[in-house]
Amino acid sequence: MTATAPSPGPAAALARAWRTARWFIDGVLGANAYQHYLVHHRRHGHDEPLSEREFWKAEYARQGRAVNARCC
Amino acid sequence: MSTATEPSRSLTRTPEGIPPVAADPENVERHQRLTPPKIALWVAVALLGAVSWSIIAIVRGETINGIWFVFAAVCSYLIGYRFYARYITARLTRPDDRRATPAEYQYDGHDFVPTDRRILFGHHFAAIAGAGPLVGPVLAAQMGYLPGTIWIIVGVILAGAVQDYLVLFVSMRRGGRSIGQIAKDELGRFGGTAALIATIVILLIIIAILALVVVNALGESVWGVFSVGMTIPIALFMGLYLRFLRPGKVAEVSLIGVVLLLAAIIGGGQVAATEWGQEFLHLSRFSIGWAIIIYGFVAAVLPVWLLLAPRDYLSTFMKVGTIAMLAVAIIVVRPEINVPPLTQWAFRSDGPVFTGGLFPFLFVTIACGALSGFHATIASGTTPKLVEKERQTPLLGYGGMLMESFVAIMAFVAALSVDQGIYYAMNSAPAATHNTVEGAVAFVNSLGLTGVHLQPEQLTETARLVGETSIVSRTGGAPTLAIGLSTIMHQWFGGPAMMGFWYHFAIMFEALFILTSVDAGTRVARFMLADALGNVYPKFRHADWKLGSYITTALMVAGWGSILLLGITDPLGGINTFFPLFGVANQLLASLALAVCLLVFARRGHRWSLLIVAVPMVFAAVVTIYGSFLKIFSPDPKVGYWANNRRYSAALDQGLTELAGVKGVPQMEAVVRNTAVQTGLSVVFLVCALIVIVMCVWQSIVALRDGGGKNTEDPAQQSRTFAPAGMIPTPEEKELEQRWASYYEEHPGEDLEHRAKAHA
Repeated sequence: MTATAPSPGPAAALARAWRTARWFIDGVLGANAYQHYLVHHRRHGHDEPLSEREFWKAEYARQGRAVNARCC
Repeated sequence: MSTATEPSRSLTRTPEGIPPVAADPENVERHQRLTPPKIALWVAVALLGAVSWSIIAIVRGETINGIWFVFAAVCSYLIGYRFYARYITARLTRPDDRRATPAEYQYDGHDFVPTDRRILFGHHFAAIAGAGPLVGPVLAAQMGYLPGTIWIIVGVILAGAVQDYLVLFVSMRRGGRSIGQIAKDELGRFGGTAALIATIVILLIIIAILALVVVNALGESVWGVFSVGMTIPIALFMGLYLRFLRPGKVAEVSLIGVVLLLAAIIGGGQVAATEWGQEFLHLSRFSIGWAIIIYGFVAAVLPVWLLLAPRDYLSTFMKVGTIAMLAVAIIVVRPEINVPPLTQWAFRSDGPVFTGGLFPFLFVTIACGALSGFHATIASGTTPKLVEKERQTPLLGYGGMLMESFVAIMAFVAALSVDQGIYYAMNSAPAATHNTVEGAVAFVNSLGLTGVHLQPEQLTETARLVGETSIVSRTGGAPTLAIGLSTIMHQWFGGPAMMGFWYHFAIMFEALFILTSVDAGTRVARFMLADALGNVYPKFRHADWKLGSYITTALMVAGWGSILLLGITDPLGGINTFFPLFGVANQLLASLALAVCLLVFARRGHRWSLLIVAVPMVFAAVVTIYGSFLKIFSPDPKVGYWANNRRYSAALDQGLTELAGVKGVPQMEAVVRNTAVQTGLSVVFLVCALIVIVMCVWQSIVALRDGGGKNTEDPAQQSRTFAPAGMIPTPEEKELEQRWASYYEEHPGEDLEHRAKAHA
């Protein structure tokens, strides 16, 4: 996702590359799960959203009840 | 039940009030049309591929450069992806971007989330890639470079990538249901149960053999035990960090973890030189086996945040990083390969690394790198719930598997670049080498390999360089690959002084992948068992019932643990006799998955285009059924488990105390026991897989006769989102992306992917 406007200078290009790398790594690792949760909560939630800490607690508990397959 | 007509009549490309949700089919076709510059480009790719293939296949020099394998593979993949995957898409799957994917219509913010195709590609690849494609090709190098290269590349294009793509597509059309569930929906209870039993047994075998690879790599290696052992406290630290210090900072803690990991590898070298290291960490393979069994149980019952999740982060990080590094190193170093294209073992049944001839055992041995049945469990279940648009499935399914095959080719090149004498000394069973340098030298030189004259100094010097006490009979593929890697990497970076580091770096990442597979696999098997037991005693289905999860975990760990211990103590060399079981299991699962896909598409009313599925299915089924048939019934004791069982039983009855390198009655009894287990497992696989395959084929014929059958797809729903299909968007897709970006700016609530936020 490179939605930002093209800005001049190597510093800006570097910053953009860093953001893209972070975006990719967070996505692949699943580190953006809390953001996904907030987006979903904004649409469908009723009460206050969980804090990041509470969310991750619940998220790992959920993962523990489900199957997360990894290949050989 | 509706019949198999196209259900998309009510769907539209341009729903009211939003930008178009799909590219215009006419534009897509125009974009795909071959123009003169494109034709020139593809001719160039084809020419480079053809040149590389002819250098590999026809030109005979003293050596061959490893770079040609990379070129042949990449050019073939590009052509396969551009032409064959597109052909399958046009003839068989016919994805429709007007149709919402499960990520959209079952959106829940957790499992079902539309995910950017580039992220999902990485995510999917990290889930399918593991130690399998690193190990199989190493063993297959016994037959020379030509058959292995052909199968890894041709096999993936015509079979492996097809399977991954079709399973992903079929599961995506069914709300991301698992392949087992789909089998049950299509075949009913009996076929579904056979598929379930086959899957559980296959899973246990796969875990056991992978664990055996780790045991063989760590046995008597202080450095290896220390650095791999350190992954546990590192993962625990990461888990605690994420729980109590900085929740959600996953990338940050992973980076810290990787740095600690590298420190552990360097530290391992120092520890190996200390007295206490030798005292406490010099463990036998038997002790390491028990350690892994205990670890497997503990890891599967501990909460995921403490060990499993953080180790998974580490493993993903290392996976993508090391594979990219390996690719660069092979291109920079361009190793010379002096293995012949075809060795004598291709046509004989008594190869020292694995027994049996080229057909069918080459295919069974390479397994994951060309066709991996286990992927069916990833391509169904996890990934399809995250796919954004239907037309992305060829990129994810087909493209993802091409990447995996590329990993296999690189592992193959690394293994081929190892000196032949060292290769056979490392991969022959202890019964042949007697576990001594002298024994190994005598054995390897007696094999009659052209151009191979092993000197004892080669073995002792290599062992010294990589910081090991011995490299004789280090079977399992991982140590050989590590030698190959360190040989390549030290030329690029660090020189001979760094060989030890690179060797243990390779061992560490293989062990990391495998340990991740071990506890994830144990958990998967445990959930399957709990689900099955739930039919009898419903309480087992409650994931929160602690005792239940202890029982099911213990049963599954006992299952793979006992096979592991048999493998460790096997007098004939555990990997050498057990690895075919791993390959057969994996390939049977693949033919099973392909058979289910065949039935699904037959019921959709396809006829001749079913050949796309039928050909690889029949090939995989014939190879593996014939392979297990030989393993059960072959009268040659080198190949047949049962023949060997009878041979040793008879010898024991006659009162012999030694037979073919196996000394002593207890050892001979171990052979009798192991071959009986191996025969039994082969029979279970064969029967279960045959039931499923025969049922699928029979039902497919019925569907062919009737011109279709029941449709188990979820009903089609209108999509209300857009994303490009390929890695690089077409001009039209770019324009649509722009329109959607401005739409989301006005309607931020509609954006399920929080795209704007990701770049704020």
